[in-house]
Amino acid sequence: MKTKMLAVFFVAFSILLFGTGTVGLTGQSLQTPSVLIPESRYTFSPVLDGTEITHDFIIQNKGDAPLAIEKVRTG
Amino acid sequence: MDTAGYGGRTVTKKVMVKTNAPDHSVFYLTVMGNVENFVTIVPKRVTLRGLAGHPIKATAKIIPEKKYPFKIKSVSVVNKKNIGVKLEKTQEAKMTSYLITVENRRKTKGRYFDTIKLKTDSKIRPEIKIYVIGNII
Repeated sequence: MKTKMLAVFFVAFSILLFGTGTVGLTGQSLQTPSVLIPESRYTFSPVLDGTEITHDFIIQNKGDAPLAIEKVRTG
Repeated sequence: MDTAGYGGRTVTKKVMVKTNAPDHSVFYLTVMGNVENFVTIVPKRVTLRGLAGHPIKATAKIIPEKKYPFKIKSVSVVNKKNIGVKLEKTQEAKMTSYLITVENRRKTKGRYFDTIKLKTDSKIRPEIKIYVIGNII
């Protein structure tokens, strides 16, 4: 009887421990940045050779964690 | 984006952006468009190659684009010791173009780089440069 109660207690404790852990992890993984780019392509009007083209691209963060731009490479 | 040297072409440039966002860890931004020529110079660079002491000459044709007509007001050379230039106006099918003759002045062997500067009456491009490469053997 004692062994049975110990086993039930152990199972219940495990469910509580791991179950809570899972809920916690799921909650954390929801907090992520999410990128929204309204315009990723810009076509400029015909220009004369030697003209410098400048354009601002907007990168929005629709997530619930800060968005970090880790690298920008032109080519 | 600098469009110098892309005249007469459609340019496409891509920018790679890397973020910490799981949905867009890497994405590309694209800039594209047509770049027009102000002038066509054939060849783009003048090469003078030949034996020292012998006459070495080369020509280049300067053709203004219809959209941006201009006249050449004067010609100058950065280093007058290396080269001499002569400019002639030509008329082909109602279009004014120019022929520039470049002559080597250097008597000794060696390589050099020089620049011809053409002053124009155009407000958008008052100066045109033609690069000259000399290789006297």
